[in-house]
Order: sequence, then C-alpha cells, then structure tokens
Amino acid sequence: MLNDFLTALTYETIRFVAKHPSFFEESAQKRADLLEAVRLGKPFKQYLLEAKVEEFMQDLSLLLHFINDSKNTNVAENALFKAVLEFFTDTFSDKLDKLDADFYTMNSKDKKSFLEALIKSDTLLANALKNLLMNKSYQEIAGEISVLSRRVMNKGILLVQMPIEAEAPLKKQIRDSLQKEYPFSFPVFQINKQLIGGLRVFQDGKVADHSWLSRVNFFTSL
Amino acid sequence: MDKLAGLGIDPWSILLYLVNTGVLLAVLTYFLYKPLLKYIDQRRKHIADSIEESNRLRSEFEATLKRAKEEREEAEESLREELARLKKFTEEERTKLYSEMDLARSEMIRKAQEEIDQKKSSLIKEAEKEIMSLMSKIILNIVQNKVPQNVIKESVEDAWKQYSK
Repeated sequence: MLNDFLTALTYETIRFVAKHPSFFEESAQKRADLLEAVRLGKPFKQYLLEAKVEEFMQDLSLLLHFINDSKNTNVAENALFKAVLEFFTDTFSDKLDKLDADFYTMNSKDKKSFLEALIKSDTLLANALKNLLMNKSYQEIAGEISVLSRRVMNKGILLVQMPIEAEAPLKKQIRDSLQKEYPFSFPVFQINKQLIGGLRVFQDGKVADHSWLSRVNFFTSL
Repeated sequence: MDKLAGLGIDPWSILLYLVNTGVLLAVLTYFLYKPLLKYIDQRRKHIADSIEESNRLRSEFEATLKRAKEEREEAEESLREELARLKKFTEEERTKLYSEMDLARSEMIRKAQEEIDQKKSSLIKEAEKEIMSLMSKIILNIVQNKVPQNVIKESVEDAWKQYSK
C-alpha cells in the first residue's frame, strides 16, 4: 500500500542526488541551502543533511528491496525508514486527521477537490499521498503506518477510541502529546459509540479507560 | 397252818396258784412278753431310728435350706449388683444417646440455617444482579440516546485532560 509513496520517494531522492552529484561532499551549510530549494518533507531533508554517501546508497538499496519484497526486508532502526516513519507520524498524520467521516461518503470529484485543497503540492510524493488518501480508508492507512512503526522502531499499537469523531485540533493535540510520550508511534483514532462519552487509550496491551461506559459499569457493579 | 386253814387259806392252793401264776408268767413271758418286748424294743428302736433319721434329715434339710438361702441371697445380691450395673449402664447410655441426639439436632439445625442463609444470600445476589443489570440498561439507554452531542464532545476533551495528567 505504501509502495507508491516509497517509489515516489526513491525517485525524488535519486533525482535530487543526480542533480547535485557532489551533495555528500558539500559542507553542512551548503547542503542545507541546497535542500531548502527542494520539495521534500522535513524528515527527508534532515536525513539527507545527516547521511553519508555510503549510508545513503545502502539505505536506497534497502528501500528498493522493501518495495520489491517488504515482508522479507529487515528495516529495523534504519535511518531512511525512520525518516519515512517520522514523515507519516508527523507531517502526514495532520492531513490524515483532517479527513472526517464525511470525506468517505463524497463522490470521487468532491474527494479529489478536497484533497487538492488539503495537499496543495503537486510533486510525485504529494500525488502519491493524494492517491493513497483517495483510494484507501483511514483504517487501512493507519494500519499500514502502525505496522511500519512496529517494524522500524518496534513500537506497539496505539489506539484511541472515542464515541464521536473528534475535531482535527483535538486529534492533533492528542497525537502530539502521545508522540512525545511514545516517539515514532502512530496513534490510530477509532469511533466506538458504546463508550458513550470520554475516551479510551490502548497502548501495548495496557488500557487507560476514561470512558463513560466504564463509569456506568463501575457504578452498577457497586 | 391250822389257823390259816381256819381262815380258808389253803397253802397248797396258794402254792398251786403261785406255780400256776409262775407257769402263766413264764408262758406269758416266753410267748407274749418277750416277743412283745422285742417288738416294743424294735418299735422303740425303729421309732428312735426314725426320729434320728428325721432329725438327721431335718438337719440336712436345714443345712440345705440354709445353703439354698445363702445361695439365694448371694444370687439376689449378685442380681441386685447386676441390676444396679445395668441401670447405671442404661443411664449412661441414655445420657450419651441424648447428648448425641442433641448434637445431631444442633448440627442439623446449623446446616439447615447455613443452607437457608446461603440460599437467601444467593437470592439477594441474584436480585441485586438483576437490579444492577436493569439499572445499567436504563442508564445506558439514557446516556446513549438522550445526551446532546456537545456534551459528549466535551466529555472527550475532559477525558483527554484527565489522561494527560
């Protein structure tokens, strides 16, 4: 599912490096200046800023391997994949959280317009993201990112259940707070009407239940 | 002698009478008195023997009677003692039985009371459970269907603040 995005990423980075063959020999300041002009996500720019040429080649090879055979490719603690993960859990998650339930009931034309307004860029990476959001559900995308988080950083599932769709600012606040506590994790938001009110957070098999349902059950069990 | 003849006493008659009386006495003695005396002696002996026998028998009987009396007394004494022992044993057994019956009765009452208490407790728990279930349904119905959306939205925000603490 993320292959299109990773392929686009591969293309963009190779194109950039091909355009600046001596990039890795340049000073840090020069590199930063060169990266300023390119339209890549911040985590990728940071990666390119810090990577050495040998590491970059190895990481690129690993990326291509992953695209071809994701199941049998070990990406644990890899710097490039960390950048990918950071992009999804930070930059992309903001966009994802802005898609409410109404988005999925829109027709294709309205969806496309919405996404064009949400992701204004038209780079390969941006288009790959738009396609992803257009064709896959929130749960599918969130699931894939969670899996990637586990594979790269060995992070467990982080699920936030609420009785209603929360607004984007609240989702962002929750996401930012949870990511501070659990870096590189991708909190997944889920609607569960049975909670009635409040919310419930699942993290690595542990539950923090602040729902109204738990309170009702508590009072009726006294 | 003439004087005696003059009186009419004949000495030869007296003699004859004497001889006659003698012969009579002899004949009586030989044929009557001796057998009679023998018989009387025999009877006397027989009676004496009988008396002696009866005395002996009486003595024996008395001794036997005395022995029997003693034995009877001993038997009575033994029987009394046996009766007393039996009575005591019966009394003890009765006391023991009564106390066992009391214990059994107390145990039965205790078990019955326990069962009653358990049953009562179980019924109360079932009733409580049903009431709680009903309360839960009512509360859930109210909060699921009657609570405004903005209240739920606020609850989510409040819950997040609580989690973040």
